[in-house]
Amino acid sequence: MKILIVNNASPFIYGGAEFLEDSLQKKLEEYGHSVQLIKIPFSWSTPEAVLDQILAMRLIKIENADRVIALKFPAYFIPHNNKVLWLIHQFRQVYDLWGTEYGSFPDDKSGKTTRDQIRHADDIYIPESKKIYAISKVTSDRLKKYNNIQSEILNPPLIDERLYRFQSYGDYIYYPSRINNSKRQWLAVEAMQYTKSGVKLLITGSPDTKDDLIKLRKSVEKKGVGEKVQIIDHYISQKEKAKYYSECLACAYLPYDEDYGYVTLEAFQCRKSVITLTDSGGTHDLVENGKNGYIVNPNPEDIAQKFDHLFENKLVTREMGNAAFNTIEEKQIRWAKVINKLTE
Amino acid sequence: MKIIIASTIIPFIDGGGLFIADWLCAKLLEYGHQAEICRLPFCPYWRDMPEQMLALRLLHFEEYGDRLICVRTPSYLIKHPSKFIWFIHHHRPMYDLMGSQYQDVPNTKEGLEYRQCVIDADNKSLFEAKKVYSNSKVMSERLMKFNKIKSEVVYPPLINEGSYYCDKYGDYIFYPSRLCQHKRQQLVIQAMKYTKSNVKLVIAGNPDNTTIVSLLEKEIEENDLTNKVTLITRWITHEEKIKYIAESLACAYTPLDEDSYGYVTLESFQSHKAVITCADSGGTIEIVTHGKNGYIVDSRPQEIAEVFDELFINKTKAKRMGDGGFDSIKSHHVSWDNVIKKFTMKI
Repeated sequence: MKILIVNNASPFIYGGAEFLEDSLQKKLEEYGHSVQLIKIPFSWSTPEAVLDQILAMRLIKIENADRVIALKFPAYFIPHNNKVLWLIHQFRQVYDLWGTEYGSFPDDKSGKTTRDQIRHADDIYIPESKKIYAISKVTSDRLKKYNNIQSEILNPPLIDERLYRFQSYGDYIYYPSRINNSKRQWLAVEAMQYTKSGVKLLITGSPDTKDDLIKLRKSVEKKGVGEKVQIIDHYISQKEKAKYYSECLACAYLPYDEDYGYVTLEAFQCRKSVITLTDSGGTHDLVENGKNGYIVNPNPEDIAQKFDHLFENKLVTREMGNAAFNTIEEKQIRWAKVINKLTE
Repeated sequence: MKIIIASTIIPFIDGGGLFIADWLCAKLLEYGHQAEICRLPFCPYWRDMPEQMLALRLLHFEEYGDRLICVRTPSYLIKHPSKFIWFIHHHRPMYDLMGSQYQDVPNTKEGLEYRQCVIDADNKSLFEAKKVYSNSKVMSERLMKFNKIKSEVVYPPLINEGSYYCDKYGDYIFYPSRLCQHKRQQLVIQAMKYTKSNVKLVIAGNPDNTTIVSLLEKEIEENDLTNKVTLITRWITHEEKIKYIAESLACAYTPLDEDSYGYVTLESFQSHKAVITCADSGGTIEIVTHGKNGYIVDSRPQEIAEVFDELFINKTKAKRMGDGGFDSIKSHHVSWDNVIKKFTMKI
């Protein structure tokens, strides 16, 4: 099949969404399909710009493709008579982020009008897709809640699971992720001042901005946890990352309202349990409290308690790690399934 | 510098325009810039064009990248405060092919309005660009003629120029190109009827269709040229191609009215081989100078045969002109150094 993957682009940034589209292309090709990736830069600087781009997407004409797989707003508006949606997320600023510090539209009459127009576009154009899948329960629930549109959850697998192995249960909690405010590495750092055992913390990832890094480093200093916390603040290879996973005690993944999060999946593949938070969103697709990790309240003391608990009870750590690994099989997070669904 | 390269594509069909975008992107990265390609599907059926043109115009690239480089038509409709264009061709059925069998719009009021819409949009968006480069003199002339837009020629270099070499000056003329009518492989075969020396001819390329293959085969057989002409009717690998060039006497490139000088010319020069082309071949004469790095002859078999013989009999001349070809690459500033310098120029 000739398949066109359409997505919006944030030029010069490589994150989870870029990883997902690349993985999808590679796997579809492995399964014998011809694939081309269309990535269109998307700007949300003003409400008018967003409306312009919705119209632009509607006016694009695709010929010579048997199927279109769309991933994100507003690329999923591109018309095609054999379109399948694998939704990463909608334009969250006019949904769950409306009225929060993350929403940039003015909360006045014109802002609200644009918000309603965008929501209306979703209401009428999303159902054009022959099939609607969502990458996680959060994404699927939002679509149901705000647009009353049903979707099926289809969790994205890892691209190279063989890279992720178990080596040992070491003495450190590992937190790999881009360093920024919403990933809340600072919460993990603050937790370290309440730990009583010999547990350590390793954070790796490139900072989104210089400020993000300075803030995190200051927090380490202020809380006096420099001995127990190590930060590797530059990009590391997949191989290095896999090694840190393989030798850690467990992982911490504490983002605010994440859509999905590959950290959980990578940790599980290495038989490591994951500590996440009640408001972390998509991590709850995989993490089950007390079975393959912990879901705790977003405060440092509660997090510290779980860090200590895992350090002092290696038997529990091992049991939960094994359960974590089995979760991938139980939930059938496999490319065979994904390709099958997206090409049927 | 952070650079976005935009080009239009018809999905799953590779064209020259896209190669240029890919190569430019690879080279910008090599030179230490950050670069990304944005490929935009565009369906060139005339009735569908205005809507899609509006789509391009409605995109918002302005906050991304220090520069936008637009390649294939009409990607340059995208707005950007630092827009540069590498113009490789118009939507030709409404421009230079108007009035030929390739014209797409009907000569009705409606058809001509569609055409005018495309020309107006081109004029406006080309004019607002900070810099317009073209890939050949032919193209710059067309831009001036149809759009009154001044442009500077920046020749596209080969991507892997280091892989070309010269092994010897052998006994055959090599013509590597897609097999099709307008590349005129038939003309070169006919020339072989008139050669007096032992010069041979090797033609290689992917055929556009089966008709062209039987036509060329018939030409060879009927003129009893099977001992003199080798016809390879498939796509040859890069390694095969550079070896054929390296061991040839010289190359032939005799298309009818090409837009650009053609990669064949460049590949040949890079391998220190002279090029035989025709006066009506179009872009090739921008870089081929008669008697210096090759021959420009009338498109008649007898004349072509004459220069084939001349090169075969006088291999010192073949070498001298081949070396001249190599030097022309430099004197025409055909290099990535030049391309990168032009496209990353501060404004």
